Amino acid sequence: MTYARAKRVVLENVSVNYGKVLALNDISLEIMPGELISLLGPSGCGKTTLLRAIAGFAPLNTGEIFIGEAACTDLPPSKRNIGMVFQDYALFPHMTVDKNIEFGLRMRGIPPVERHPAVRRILNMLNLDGLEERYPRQLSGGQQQRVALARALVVEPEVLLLDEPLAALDKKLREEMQIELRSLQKRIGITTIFVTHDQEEALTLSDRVVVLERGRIIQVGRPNEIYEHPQTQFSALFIGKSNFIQGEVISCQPEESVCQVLGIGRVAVKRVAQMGAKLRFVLRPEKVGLSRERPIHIEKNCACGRIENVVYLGMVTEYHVRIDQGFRLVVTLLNTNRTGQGFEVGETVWANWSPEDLIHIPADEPPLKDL
Amino acid sequence: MRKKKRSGNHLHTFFWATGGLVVVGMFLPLLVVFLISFNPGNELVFPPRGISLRWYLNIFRHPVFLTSFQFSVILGALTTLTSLAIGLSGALVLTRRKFRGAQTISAFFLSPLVVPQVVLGMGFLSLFSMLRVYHSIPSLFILHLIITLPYTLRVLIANLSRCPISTEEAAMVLGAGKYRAFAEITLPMIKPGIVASAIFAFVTSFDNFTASQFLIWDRTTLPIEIYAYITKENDPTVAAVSSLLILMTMGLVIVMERWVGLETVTG
Repeated sequence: MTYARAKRVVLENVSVNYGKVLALNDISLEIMPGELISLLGPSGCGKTTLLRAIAGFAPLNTGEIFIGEAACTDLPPSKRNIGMVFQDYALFPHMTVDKNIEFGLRMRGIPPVERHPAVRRILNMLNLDGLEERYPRQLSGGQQQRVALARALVVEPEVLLLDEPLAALDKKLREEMQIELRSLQKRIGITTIFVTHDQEEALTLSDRVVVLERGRIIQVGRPNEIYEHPQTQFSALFIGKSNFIQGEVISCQPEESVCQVLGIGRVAVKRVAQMGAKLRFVLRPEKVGLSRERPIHIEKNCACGRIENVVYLGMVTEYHVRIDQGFRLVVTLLNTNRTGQGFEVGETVWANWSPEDLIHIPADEPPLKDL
Repeated sequence: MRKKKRSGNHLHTFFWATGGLVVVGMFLPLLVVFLISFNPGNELVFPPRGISLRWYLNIFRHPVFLTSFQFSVILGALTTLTSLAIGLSGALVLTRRKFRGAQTISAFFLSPLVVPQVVLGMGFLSLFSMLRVYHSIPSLFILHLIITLPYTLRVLIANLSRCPISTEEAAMVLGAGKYRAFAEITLPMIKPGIVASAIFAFVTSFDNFTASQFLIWDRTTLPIEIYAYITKENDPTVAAVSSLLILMTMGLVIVMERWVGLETVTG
């Protein structure tokens, strides 16, 4: 199965509301042919609604949806030529695996002689050989998941929609399926939209991540962009761990500004700003170093504190460092020494970081538009 | 092994004993009726004092049994079909559309269950008299519909709420239209419920006596005819009629077993 027909998906000013609740608020997004994009956000952020809008299950208030060149805003789900995997897989319990997978082909009026080879091919592709005659209840969770995927793909849809398809699997199997899903998607090159609330999954799988909050798109970007340059406090909070630093500019130079931060002192940032401006930054915990001695040659961007809490996580250890006046810094250090021992609770340490690692957050979330 | 599970064994015995009692309690009366029907004499005595098919022949000397049986079957079938159609549409709306008042509406439809049948019959009698409808067919049909609807509705609601909407949506995404998705996916999934409620509805309609007796104008149903007969005569004819009904029911059960598998009906 080759995918010469990967399609672009475009959303233009899409809004959906349920009663008085605005579930999607003016969403515009362009998804490239063959791209795997994930919709990430907490529950109630509208990610599932967005997927259902593309599938045709959530009628739009305003806006247009294009799959390929054609507007499909007014088409029913059955006419959109999409593949969809539901969170509960939604396999037909009264049909065998064979019949489940064949269903879409049958609905398209494809004769049995052509259906059987197609079903056999997809069964083989997803390592489901030998399970043809089983009923869904006789399959394991992972197998059910594959059958759902096979059923969606066998009709050669123009776009594949996945609604938290891995959420019901245990961690080990989920990680395996992530890799498998990713390689399958790359192999057939189908445009794929993936809903998840798991930030790690989104970063692992996607070409691009769309961060949603309360029905709006907060940020769109490649996984590393999303992580390294969060656009809002929400993005930074939702993806990975963060320290928030807020300060007032007390001196400006051509290359950098210096901020006075409560509790920490003077902090240099790679940013030109006006005197007196209030700036906000994110500092990722793994970008902070710790030492027992005061680092030499560093005046700004370091702070002295006491270790309040040590959380050993195997590969890394997380330290909660209490700086003066209530400011707490979270620091993660790689456990490179063999003993796995680092700093102790109560120790006085110096935290330091480089100015480049302070990520400026340009703006607060824009105010919400109500109905 | 066995000695270790002593308390389990006690429970086991207990379940077998109660199960056995229930079976005996249910089948013994049927057996008694069956045996009485073969009495050669014209009194209802047990054990029978011989074997004779006399009373079976006697049924055919009373055409009312046949005509009322026919009427009961037709009435039952009509009631069942209508009750299923209304019950299914009602259950679909109540489970698939979340709207305010759904609970109230569902309670309203289940309410005939708690109204005594005598009251129901009396009520319908006054109503139909007021409307000057003195025909058994429409009035009994409506009455039986009201009586059976709570059963069909309840069983179908239970079945539908166990059958997630996502399966139907999956069928739609795969190219099935709304109605086709329902017919190919949801309908087979709730088949046990449909069969179960059809049996319930038919049996309830066929057996109903208490409320139906108020609406006997130009036609009678079999239970009412049987009752009328035993108030006049005291011979085993009714036992013969009952035996035939029992045989018919058993035949029906066997057919169901073959056709849909009974475990899907009772489970």
